[in-house]
Amino acid sequence: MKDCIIVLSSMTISKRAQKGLQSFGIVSEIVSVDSKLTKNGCSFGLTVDCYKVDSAVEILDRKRIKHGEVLGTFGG
Amino acid sequence: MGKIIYADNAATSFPKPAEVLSAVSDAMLYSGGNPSRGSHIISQRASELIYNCRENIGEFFNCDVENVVLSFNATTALNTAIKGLAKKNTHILISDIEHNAVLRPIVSLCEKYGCTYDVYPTFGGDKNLIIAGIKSRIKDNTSLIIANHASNICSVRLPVEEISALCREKNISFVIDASQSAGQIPIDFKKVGASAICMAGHKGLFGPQGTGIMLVSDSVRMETLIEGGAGHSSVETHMPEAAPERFEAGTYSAPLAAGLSAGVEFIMREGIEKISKKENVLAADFADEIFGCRETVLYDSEHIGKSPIVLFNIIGKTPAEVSRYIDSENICTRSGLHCAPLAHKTIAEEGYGAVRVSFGYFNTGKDVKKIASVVRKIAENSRF
Repeated sequence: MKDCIIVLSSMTISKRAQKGLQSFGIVSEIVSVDSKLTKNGCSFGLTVDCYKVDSAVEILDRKRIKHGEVLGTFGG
Repeated sequence: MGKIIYADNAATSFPKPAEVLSAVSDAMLYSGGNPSRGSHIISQRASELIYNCRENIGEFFNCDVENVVLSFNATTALNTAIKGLAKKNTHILISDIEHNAVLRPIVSLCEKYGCTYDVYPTFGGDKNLIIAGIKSRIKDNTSLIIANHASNICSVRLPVEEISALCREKNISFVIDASQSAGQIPIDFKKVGASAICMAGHKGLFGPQGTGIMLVSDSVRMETLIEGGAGHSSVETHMPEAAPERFEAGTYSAPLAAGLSAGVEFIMREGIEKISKKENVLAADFADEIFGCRETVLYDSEHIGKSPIVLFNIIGKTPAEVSRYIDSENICTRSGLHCAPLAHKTIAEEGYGAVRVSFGYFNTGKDVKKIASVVRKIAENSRF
């Protein structure tokens, strides 16, 4: 299984996003995102199964949870 | 030493529910990482405690987690809100029952940033008179109005929903000091519509000392009071734009947040109406017990029973003398000006303070009788 990372920002947003996805059956994990990969420096993000990442992003958009880019693959 | 009766809950609630103690202790044992400063398991546990605290507070006050800013006490929350919202060289209105946690930051703003301020009367809580009093004092450059939801020395309550509506109509920021009302009077953040509501975590919310809350509206632009690490966006030289992290520079204590969260859960379980009714009845019963003493002066007597607070003096004795005698009987009260000289001037007139008895959820009818008997003894001994 390959995981993608949805870049978020603060821990509060990340937790809210995680709970939001959980309510739709999407499991995610909060991770630190390497500061080289984001324009503002360190950030938190969610790892999500890449097959589900599009759905996850849609859910976050619907819930108006601000997110950044989706990064490649993580682990795998 | 005999049993100690604690009747100073307006200063801080004591004892705390057992759940609060265990929450703090468990957090220190198992979740002692730095919240929002890493993604390892111990940090994540700490972050979870902080988030749960925000969720409980959000549920209790009807707001979103992002509206919940955790601070170290009401004073920090009020300074953040007041100094973040007031604009330079503008006019500010405060009520005549404000605590020093409001008055002193306002005076500081006036001295440093050219603001001016006026005091609106509270008329013992008469809603229409209060609104009329505020309206007549609003100037073209009024940028901020502050209201103490409930006084720390009497039972006066301000009509914060109506004041908030007036402020929205006039496009003026509105800050509520809910330090004495949080956990006593239901507060619906979305319904009230204030710019910010600030409160202590360690009084009516049963949290540990070292906790406070600022509920901040999404629709206000508030400048920061303290800048530092926020746990993310470190390349940026400014604090993040979005609450709550915008106003939470530095490490927040996850154990204290866990305690505060447990306190709020306790209130939701017991029921805020049940808690406030018990506390208010104790105050009313105490006032009844000492009302007949010739030498006793009861302040704001027409509102007694609407809060857990009774304020009084004994003729012929200073408040400090009375409190010292009461202390010697293992009863904890507080005398003086209670950091609220404005309120004392409004309510008690004399200017050198009074004795405050403030009941809590864990006080009993026996406590009331004991305190009243001691007060009656002091009053009898003060007769010339």
